[in-house]
Amino acid sequence: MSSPPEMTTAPELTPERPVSPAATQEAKSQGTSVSPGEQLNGLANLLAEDLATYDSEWLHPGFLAVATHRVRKYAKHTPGLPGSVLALACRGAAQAIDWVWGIQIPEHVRLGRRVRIWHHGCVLLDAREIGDDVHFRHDTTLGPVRGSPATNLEALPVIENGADIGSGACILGPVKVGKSAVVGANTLVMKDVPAGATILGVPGRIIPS
Amino acid sequence: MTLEELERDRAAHPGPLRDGKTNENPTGISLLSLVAEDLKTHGGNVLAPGFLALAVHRFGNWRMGLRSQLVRAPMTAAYRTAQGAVTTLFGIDIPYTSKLGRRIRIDHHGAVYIGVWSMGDDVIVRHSVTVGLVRRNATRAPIIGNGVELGPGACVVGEISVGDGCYVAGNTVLADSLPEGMAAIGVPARQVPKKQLLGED
Repeated sequence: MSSPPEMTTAPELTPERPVSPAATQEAKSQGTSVSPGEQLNGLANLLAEDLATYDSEWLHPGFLAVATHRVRKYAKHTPGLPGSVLALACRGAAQAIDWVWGIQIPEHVRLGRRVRIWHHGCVLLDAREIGDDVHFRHDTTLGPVRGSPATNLEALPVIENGADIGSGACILGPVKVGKSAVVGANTLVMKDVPAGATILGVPGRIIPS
Repeated sequence: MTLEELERDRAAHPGPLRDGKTNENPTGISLLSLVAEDLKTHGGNVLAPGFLALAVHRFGNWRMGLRSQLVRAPMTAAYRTAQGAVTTLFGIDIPYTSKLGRRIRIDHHGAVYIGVWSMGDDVIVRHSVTVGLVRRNATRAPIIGNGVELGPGACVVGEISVGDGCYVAGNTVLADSLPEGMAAIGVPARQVPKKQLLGED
């Protein structure tokens, strides 16, 4: 896997708003907003990093789902008609990807960097936030305890950086899966998982590593 | 029908599902209104796979209300094509002989099989859910009540009844009847009061 393009870790540079700090600084000093060119450059860098995460397989369903989500977020910050058209196109693309590969990442999800969805099929990542370097497999559900579409983001899980989520996992409710935690296959998580812990079973139980 | 009546009918019937000779859609509502209600249940999204699968199911039942076989034949051809498409593309397989209630919501598609004697109203079905026979050559399928939620990955099988308002947790395998207002969690399922698991209701 080639090393991903350089992205700084300044706070302005998040997947929600991928703009270089230099551009943000310049805009601040000039009293303007970041230029569309810089914003687009930031998005391009982010997508390049995502593609590298998927070993350059641009047809990988996971990459397509993540890339669509990135552009969808970008469209939210794009004003006027171009923004609306792009947002609609992203919504269509997201629906198509869900139809064909069964991967759904709802619009509100804050998705971290280098997130890898290894396989497709029954993947519904309805979380409040997913951190960096989180890996998912197929048949994975993140969502509210009750199936009603969560109008309340507080009812959704948060997955912290580096977590490893097994296939068949169900992570439901306002739970936090800690940094680098491991959720075993077919596990039902309805309570917080401490950082670095491994959880397995239905219901999930922390097992000593 | 009461639960007792449903259970009695199920026990008396030779096979796990109904014979499919009649329209078993919910009564007192036209096909179009029923489909419109299903659409509303799925947030108005005409492209929701769950909605499309249910629309095909409703149509499949409605066509059995047509008395003339001549008129019904092209409808049957259309139903079989649509059912094949929905099953293949979305992985949602609901034989039209499964009797379904109103406002059933299929949250996400993929690996959904619903073979029931009867399913009530306001049921939530998440993805990777199996409802059906307990093993090969078994002859009885579940009865699901109103307001039940089947969590992702749940398996509900056998000659059982899941009472109104029950919650079957994710990845749970339930092969025993579940009384009203209870929750089932685990493989095999352990039954706990719903309040204990969910902290409310």
